[in-house]
Amino acid sequence: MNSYRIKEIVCIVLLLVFIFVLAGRKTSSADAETVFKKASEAMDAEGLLQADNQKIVENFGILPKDYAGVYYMASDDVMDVRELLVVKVGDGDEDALLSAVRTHIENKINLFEGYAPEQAALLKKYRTKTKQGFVLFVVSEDTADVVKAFNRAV
Amino acid sequence: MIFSSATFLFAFLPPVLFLYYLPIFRRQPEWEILKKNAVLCIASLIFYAWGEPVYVLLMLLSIYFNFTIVRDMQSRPDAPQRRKRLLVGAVLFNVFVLGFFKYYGFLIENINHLFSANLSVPQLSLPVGISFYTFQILSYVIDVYKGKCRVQNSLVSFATYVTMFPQLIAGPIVQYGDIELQLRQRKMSTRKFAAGVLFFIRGLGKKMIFANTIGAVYTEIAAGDASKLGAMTAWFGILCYTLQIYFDFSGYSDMAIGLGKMFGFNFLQNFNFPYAATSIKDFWKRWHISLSTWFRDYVYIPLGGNRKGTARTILNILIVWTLTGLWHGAAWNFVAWGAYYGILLLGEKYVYGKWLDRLPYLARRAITLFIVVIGWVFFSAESFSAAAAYLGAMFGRGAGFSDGTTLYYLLSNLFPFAVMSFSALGVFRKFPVAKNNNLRLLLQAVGYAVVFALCMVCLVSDSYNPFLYFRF
Repeated sequence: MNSYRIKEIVCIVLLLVFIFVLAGRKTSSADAETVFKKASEAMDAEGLLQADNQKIVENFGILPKDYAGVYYMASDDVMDVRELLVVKVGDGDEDALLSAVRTHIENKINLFEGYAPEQAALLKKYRTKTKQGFVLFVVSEDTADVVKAFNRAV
Repeated sequence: MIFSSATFLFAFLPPVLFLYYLPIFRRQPEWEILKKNAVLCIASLIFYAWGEPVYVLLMLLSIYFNFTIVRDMQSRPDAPQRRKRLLVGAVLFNVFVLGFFKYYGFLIENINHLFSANLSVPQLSLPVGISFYTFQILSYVIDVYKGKCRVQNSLVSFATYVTMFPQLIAGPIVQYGDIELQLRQRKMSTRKFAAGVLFFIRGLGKKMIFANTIGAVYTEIAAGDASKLGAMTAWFGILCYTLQIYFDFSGYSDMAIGLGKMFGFNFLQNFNFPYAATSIKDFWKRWHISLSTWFRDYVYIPLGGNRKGTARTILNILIVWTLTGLWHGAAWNFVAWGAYYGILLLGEKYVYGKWLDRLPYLARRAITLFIVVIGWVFFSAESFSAAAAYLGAMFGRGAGFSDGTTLYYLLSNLFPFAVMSFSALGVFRKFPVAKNNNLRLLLQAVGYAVVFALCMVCLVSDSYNPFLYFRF
């Protein structure tokens, strides 16, 4: 067997190993709505409303149809900065989503800093968490509880 | 990492350019070009790994396998059967990699649907740019086999060809033959670098100022329920998408071509005012030129092209266009979009082409544009049924002629919509520019500076910054 053939076979074997490892990576089969519900139950969600697709596009610049499931709630009151976003990524672009979330929170912090220090402080406590094909973004006093609930539900 | 991001513009590109142009082997031009290729290759791997650290391994594996198998193929030029076997092996390997990562989930979903089976669908994310770099690799393998190009003996240079970050994730698809010589020697000059910068700024402007602005309008319209859309709003929405996809993708291509020039490469043009086309055939000579050229050279012609009779030509055209649709995405709406163009091209070729040619110029342009816009409905929709619902809304089966938002969308976006439409239709091409050379240069400099400044404003303030062709 010549050296080329050995290299070719090694490449094919490595490719198969790579595929098996990737295919074996765990992705949660949980339903996005259930995860969202569990996460929202862990926080003080009084006064928060579940947003429609247009609101999601407006706030994050992501198209919900690109993801397997997008659930978002926020308040209609501009001074209430609490919000919760749960996304089941599916075939969507997770990096683009996280980048959109970062831009969203940075813009909000810039907006409130200077004239509404309480809101700005709460915004700075935001958390994002990715786990098994799900992304969580939360701004709340109960962040730790929400993350725990999210982890359990996923 | 995307070109229209602060990370790329300010943290990635300047040091890469510095290292690239840092003269280390002044007296040994061969070593210097190898060093330049190595810098570009390493930078490209970092660029790719920024968003896809795992899939860099897949790309490296693919590079090494194809590099080796082509060298193997060329090591015994006197054994044609052996060469053919290796070619088939290489093609199968590449098609398998692309097929597994892009289409396996789609295949399983369809099997489950057809046979009421319950096979688990793998949740693999699509490696960014896999469709582009696989096609580039295939062009190398096939061209070397056919004797159109010489085998590449430098792994670094071959890896540079495949990974080159300017065109890695969204094209244009650079055929190996177009770049073979440039990998060994390329001319770099201040003039070329400056031209590259201008190309890049033009592309960035198309993307950041035009595509993002108009794309946000379409996204807002499309996010709603199609059954509640008035015909006017639906038409306005899809026209916004028509502009968005053109400025998004041609902007990206301009940035890629510009970056290529900054590194001394010349990539071929990928767009030539496609919405000014006078027929569908003409449209595909102007839209994503590198993709249609690839399919022509590596699928249509090897299948026999139009040399084997009418029936075979029809079949070949349908195969090529179904594959073109499928290349864009593993979903039935993309297949329908590809087949739509296949059928239209057949119609032009065999049924109504001569009649179309006799129509006035503007009528031909209008008909072509209408057909293209309808095609984008299939392309932009998440599924076949969503496309059908949106089409229904465009023809009055949603909320009638107009809904409560129609006037709002039209009035609040009329000016940018008009400017972008004229620009996409090529109206500004004939715009008179100052005859005086110095004045023209000054106007150009000011114009590009303003565009760049506006892009920076958008970069800082805009959260809506997707790249449509990334997912392909």
